[in-house]
Amino acid sequence: VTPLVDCQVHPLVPSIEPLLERMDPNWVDRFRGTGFALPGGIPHPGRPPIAPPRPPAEAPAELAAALAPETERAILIPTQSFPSPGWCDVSMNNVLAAALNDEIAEVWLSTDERFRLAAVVSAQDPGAAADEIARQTANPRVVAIATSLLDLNLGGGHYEPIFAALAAAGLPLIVHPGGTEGFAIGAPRLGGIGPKGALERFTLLPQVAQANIASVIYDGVFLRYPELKIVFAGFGFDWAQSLLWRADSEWRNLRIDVPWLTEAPGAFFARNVRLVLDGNSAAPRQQQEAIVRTIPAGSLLFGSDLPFAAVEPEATLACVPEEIRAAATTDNAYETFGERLRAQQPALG
Amino acid sequence: VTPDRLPVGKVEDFRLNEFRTVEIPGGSIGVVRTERGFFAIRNRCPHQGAELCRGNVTSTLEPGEGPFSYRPGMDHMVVRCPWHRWEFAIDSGIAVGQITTKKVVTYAVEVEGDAVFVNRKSKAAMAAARKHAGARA
Repeated sequence: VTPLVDCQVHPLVPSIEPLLERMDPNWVDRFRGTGFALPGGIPHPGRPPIAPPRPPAEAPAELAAALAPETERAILIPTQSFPSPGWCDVSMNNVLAAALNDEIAEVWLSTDERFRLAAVVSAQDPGAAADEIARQTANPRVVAIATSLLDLNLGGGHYEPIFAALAAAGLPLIVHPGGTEGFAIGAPRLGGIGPKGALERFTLLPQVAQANIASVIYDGVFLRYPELKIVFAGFGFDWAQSLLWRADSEWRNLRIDVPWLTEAPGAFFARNVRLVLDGNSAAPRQQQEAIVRTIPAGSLLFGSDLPFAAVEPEATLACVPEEIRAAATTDNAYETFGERLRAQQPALG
Repeated sequence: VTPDRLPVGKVEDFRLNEFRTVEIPGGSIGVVRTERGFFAIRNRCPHQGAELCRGNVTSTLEPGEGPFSYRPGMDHMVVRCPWHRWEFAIDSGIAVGQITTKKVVTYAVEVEGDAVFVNRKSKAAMAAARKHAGARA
């Protein structure tokens, strides 16, 4: 059995109640007073509705049981604070993210020793996010920091405190859609048209990844932080070759616009950017392998997207050529998430 | 004058940093006078075949201390293609910024009195010939 590192698993906390227990009482009043409810996850096209586990206390065990048997590690990416770019109360987002991190760390990680956590931060308040990153670094089972994005270029100055904190902690960043792209003020816009609904949002969502990958490369984030890895999860991969071809081609023509770049954009992508293959590619199955071959082999990670997974890992990985299968299933993940992922950790609690 | 030496004009015919071209079979050679002397390159961009010497000799921008930091470099030793702005060093023919490994062909220029000549054999061909002759001797 080929071992697997599952880089994209979403723990869904069944209700806000356990999170309220982790908050300052004043914040509890505020969350209750606003009738706050946790989103149950972003509806995915063509999937069954997301049903909360019954009883709620079994949610972590249900997720662990759903992992493919060959899974060596599973990185939990909590997404329930990710619609926050559309919220006005920035402090509330910080409190929610911290409570989510504490709940997942203490309750979910103790359920299965394969679980690791990508602790979440709110990008709206990069100073507070940096503090949360520093706090999370103390937990050896935190292997990354995850966030949704704002309507600001990822390579721009706004995110600088987050990058500095990540570099100090030696943690990669996982970027995941927040569910409000194109819908909420403050969330990334989607270009040209709409979106009027989920159809247009899902159609155009790769623009967010493309624009922000271009931004971090051209704006020189990886010159300042050469060791930093940024993982784009939940955006698919079938748009990447277009971005890579254009980025290198236009750079050859317009290098004079970014004279600080010492290498082709594709070289930075291969070294610093990772994409999660999650079985959600829209490309016809017989075309997927050709597309995967155009992406640097070291940039490919596997993610099941549980509990939203539509296909088995083997079906997702069918597009990965045999010679890079081990890279995509395990090696790249251990290289990207490093010793924290590699280390055997006893279950907490 | 050997068959390989082509007259390009008088020194005073050359405006600083502007190419004059001389026809050769299958194309042309651009010859330019800069403050560092005369240089000659094939008037053909290795990218898509544009007439490279329609671009003037210029400088470029080099990396500075990190992002958004840069400084002028290669002072008037660069030709920038008018089609896609690919840049090449006029002395070596090497692409600026490592955007490609393709090179522009370069030629030797000789000045005798006020007459300027370019050798239609490329520098690379002449170097190879010298190496070959040395090996035979």
